Amino acid sequence: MSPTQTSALKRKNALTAAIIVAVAAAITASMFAYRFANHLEPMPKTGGYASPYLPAK
Amino acid sequence: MATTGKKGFLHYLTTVNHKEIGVMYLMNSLVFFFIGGIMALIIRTELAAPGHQFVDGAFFNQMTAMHATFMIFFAIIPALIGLGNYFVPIMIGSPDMAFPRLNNWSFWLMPFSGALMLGSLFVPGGSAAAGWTAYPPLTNAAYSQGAGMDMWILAVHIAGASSILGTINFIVTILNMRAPGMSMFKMPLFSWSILITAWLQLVATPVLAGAITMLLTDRHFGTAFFNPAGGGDPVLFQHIFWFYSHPAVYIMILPVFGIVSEVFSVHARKPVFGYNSMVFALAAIAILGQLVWAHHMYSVGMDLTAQLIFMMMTMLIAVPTGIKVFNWLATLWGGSIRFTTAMLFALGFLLLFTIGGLSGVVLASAPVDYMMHDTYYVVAHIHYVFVTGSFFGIMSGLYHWFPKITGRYLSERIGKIHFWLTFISVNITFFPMHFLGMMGMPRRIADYNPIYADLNLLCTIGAMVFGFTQILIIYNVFYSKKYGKKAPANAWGGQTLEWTHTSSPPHEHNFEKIPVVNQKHAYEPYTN
Repeated sequence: MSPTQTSALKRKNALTAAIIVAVAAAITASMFAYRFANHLEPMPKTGGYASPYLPAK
Repeated sequence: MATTGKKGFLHYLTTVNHKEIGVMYLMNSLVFFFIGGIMALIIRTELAAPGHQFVDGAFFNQMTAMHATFMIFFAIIPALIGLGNYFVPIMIGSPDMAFPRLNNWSFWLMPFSGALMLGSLFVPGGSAAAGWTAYPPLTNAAYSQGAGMDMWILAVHIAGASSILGTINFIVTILNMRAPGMSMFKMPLFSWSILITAWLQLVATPVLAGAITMLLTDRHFGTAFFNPAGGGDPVLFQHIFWFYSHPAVYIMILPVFGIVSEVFSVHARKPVFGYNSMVFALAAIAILGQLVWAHHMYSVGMDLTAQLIFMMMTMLIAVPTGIKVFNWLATLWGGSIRFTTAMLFALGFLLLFTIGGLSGVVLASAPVDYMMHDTYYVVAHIHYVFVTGSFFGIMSGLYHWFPKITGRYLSERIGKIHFWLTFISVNITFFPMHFLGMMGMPRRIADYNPIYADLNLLCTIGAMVFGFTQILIIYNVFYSKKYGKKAPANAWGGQTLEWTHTSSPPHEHNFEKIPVVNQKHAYEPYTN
């Protein structure tokens, strides 16, 4: 393999790794976004948490 | 030791050779396998009879948590990564991994992470004790005091980082570094299994990292992700945890599917039957495996529709798995079978893993799971998957590829004693657990109702035999490396590049020159 081929392969490898990381990060982020939307209660504007387990403020 | 110009430990610290790193992964795995095994024997000793005999309840809980943690994160996964590291570049005709320095770093994170995990046993309060699942509220600051739980979180983080870096390397290597003529559908199935596993790891592991980071901030920084008193939800942790940890089961079994495919083909002297369907079945198992995490959580009060969806998706996994089992049987059918130790472990895998798969279908049924959840039936199921599945597969691969790694065969005489003692004892240990589970014995307890005593004693006897039998593989490895029968380049008459185009052991850059693949299909003989 010539030095030009080697550096081309290195660039190709780096680009492939970057694409893979970006796709995995997008999947991870969307998973968390979906779960947060379904499980965590929104913060009420009046402050504090609207927990059903605590007396209302 | 030509790659680094250094000697001893410094050489291994700095080596970037994928074969040496592969062997280092295997040795690391062997050490932690024995540490996890000792913990298993402590658990089984305590459970030999009802009442508290040898350890107190708190230490027993630490042993159950740490046994599973060590076996999953530090023994099984690294062993499979080690075999992948050694053989994938050779199988696809590459001189090394795409990122050799990253490969070195991926490995060295692993023993430090394992040492940190082991060290947690010695801090005040002991190690994590809430199971490897680390469910809050058991793992929040109130119920898991002391540094042990924090060390568990940090160690899993480091092991996860190691996994993520390794997977990026595997994917890029397989996509970009294949030899001329080695199209994706000419790759040996082991390479396919590692590619698909790497994808699963890459997508799932960061989710686990997120879950345990949230757990850490709940413990120390006043957040309430998993605390209902602060608007959080402990079930959220279970969802995020199983989004990683169910795929983790496949991370520990898909490479084994690849290994046994290689072993069946070589030792039955036939190409793998239904190659394309094997690849698609692997991919289908991986995709379905990512979508069924909540079948671990039927009993949390999940919506009925969600239960039905997760139940049906889980049962669907039996279809691609069945395709693989039938293809393996068809590979064996009419083959010229050699009953080597590698083949015996692969056949043992085929028989016993199918039992583990069937008990999985039983547990996939939500109404049945309501009865079986957190009983010994689940323990039986998971051990038929991990021990007779992953462990048998790793042993099969070790006996199969040892001649390539060292240039010498493992002793077949010791190997067959090892196999038969393992095969018998593993069933004595884990088969009665199905009955214990159906009788209602809960898992992760140090004491139990005396009605479970006889079967528990049987399990303990089996575990002792199984545990001490594994000394044979250590002896066999070290004995055969020095005195074993010398192996030729193609030790078993295989038709993949590691057998046809490299010496035993392969030289530093694997091939004299990069091979040109002229097979029509995978597993057919080369003509160059």
